[in-house]
Amino acid sequence: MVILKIENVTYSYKDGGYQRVILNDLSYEFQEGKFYTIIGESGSGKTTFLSLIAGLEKVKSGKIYFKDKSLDQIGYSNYRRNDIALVFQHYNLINYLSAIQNISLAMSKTKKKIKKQKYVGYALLKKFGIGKSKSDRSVTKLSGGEQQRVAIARALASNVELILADEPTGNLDKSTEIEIISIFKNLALEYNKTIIVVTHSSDVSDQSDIILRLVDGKLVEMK
Amino acid sequence: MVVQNADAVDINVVDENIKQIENGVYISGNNTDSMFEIDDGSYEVVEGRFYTLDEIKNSEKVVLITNQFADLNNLKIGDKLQFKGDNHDELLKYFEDDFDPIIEYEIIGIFNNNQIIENENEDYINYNVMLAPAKSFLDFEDNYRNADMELCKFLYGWNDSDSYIGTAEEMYVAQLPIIKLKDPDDLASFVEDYEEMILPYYTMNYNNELFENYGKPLDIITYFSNLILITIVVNMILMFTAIIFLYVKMRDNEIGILLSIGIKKIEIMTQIFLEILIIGFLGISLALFSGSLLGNKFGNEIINISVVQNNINEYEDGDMFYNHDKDYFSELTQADVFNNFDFNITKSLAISIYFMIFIIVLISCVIPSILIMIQDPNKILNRKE
Repeated sequence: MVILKIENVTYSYKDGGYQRVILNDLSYEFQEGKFYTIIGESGSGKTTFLSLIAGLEKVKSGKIYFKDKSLDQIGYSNYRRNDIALVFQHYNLINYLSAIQNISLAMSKTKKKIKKQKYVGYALLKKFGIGKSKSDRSVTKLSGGEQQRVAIARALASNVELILADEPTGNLDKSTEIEIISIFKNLALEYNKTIIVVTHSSDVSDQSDIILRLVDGKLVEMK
Repeated sequence: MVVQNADAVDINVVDENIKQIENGVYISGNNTDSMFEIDDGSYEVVEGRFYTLDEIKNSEKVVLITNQFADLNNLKIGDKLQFKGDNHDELLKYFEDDFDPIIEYEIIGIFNNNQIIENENEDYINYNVMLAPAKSFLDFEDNYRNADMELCKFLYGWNDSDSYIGTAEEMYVAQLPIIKLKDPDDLASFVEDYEEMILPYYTMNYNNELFENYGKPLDIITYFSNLILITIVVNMILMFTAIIFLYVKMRDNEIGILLSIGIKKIEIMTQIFLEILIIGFLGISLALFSGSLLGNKFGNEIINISVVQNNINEYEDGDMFYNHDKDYFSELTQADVFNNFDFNITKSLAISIYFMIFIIVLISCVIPSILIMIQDPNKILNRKE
């Protein structure tokens, strides 16, 4: 089943006097329950593409559909709030909150009613190896790997079907990277989540179900 | 009716109960069921009672006399007194049964007059005071005067201008009730409420000049306080705007994160507004608390520096009743005035201040809100990375 459909999306910007095309009439359909990785050279437009499908930026030409509804129809804030979750290279947790508070914030903003939020939050964090004492700590006191696990837990907390990640292992060591990749694989496999990860790492892409390479503004399936 | 020495009062016994006073006494009347002098202890009812509101309303001829006067003339409660004017014999002859120049009062109370007379030889002034409902004798006085004038026209050929002896107001200021208001600011509304009611028998002399003169330093302080307040409000808006602007700039990463997880800009603006409002309310609560503690002490110091001279002498213009005013007003001290200006924070003042802070924060949030509105989460998050 198609969860995300990209239809004739073109994105360009002015670079000096030159119009630089990043995405060129790009179309693609992402299936539910798959783990995708998007690879490509630096500056090929991977992050821009992720921003567009995350609804962080509006599409100027073309359409993006989430479950047959365009993002314009859903509303960009509503889409980000209820339908997707984002994981960033720099985790982007709110520094002055604890891990559990970051999770609770994500749960509280979604329209899906989640009962016993704190209990669910602790359970979720425990599943990702963050015990109660660490859950109650400020996120700045956690290691990079722990912060990323908190960020993934936050992504799951709002119980969305589509998780987008931009270089989620970029700041992590090899062993932690393997841990994070296995988490993503499990999410797709066990929870039927669709995972789209932008990465430079071949270790990450090798573990995905589908590898997409962004070449000349188009997505090309490699695997 | 002329005040005379009580020793010289000539009482003619008409019958067992009715006594007629040949010479003058001083009748002090009012339109309430008590008197300023009774309240302040100058008059003390020792036997019988004071007249009631019904008796005042019905112009009942009831009277209270001093115990000295009662003892001297062997009078008791229930006895009756008749008063007659100077020309009553001529009036009787002229008007026959058409006009009765005698007024009869029943004694209902006896009181001690504790007022101090500087000259002991004039004790009779205190002894000869009688208290009666004002209207009861003023009606009689009015009729008596008109009859007397008519007689003079008949006997001596007076015309209207000869018979003019003053306006009703000039004639009928029989006694001077002094009313001291608790709050001088109530003066205008008091005058408006009661001036019509007391006419024609009383005129109302009123002023709070003394209060205002005493209060001038406070008015000046109030004026400067208002100026300072306006300056503070304007500066608070500018400072709050700058602070909120920096606050938003410093928290742009957090704003980016919140936007990326789908929180709407209006929610973020509301959150920041509420945060600043809570800080503002906490700040103003502390300011009110410390201000109320320091206000009195600091305010009194300022007032003491600004003391004005007591200018009571301004009132010495020779007017008898005005002099009485002066006596009473001279009781008003600068301390009394300052007590009326006590520094305290009322509930309504506190609410006004909190409302003012609310408005200041609201205005201060306008420009930073524009900054939030133009925030692009993608740019914020990419900038970080």
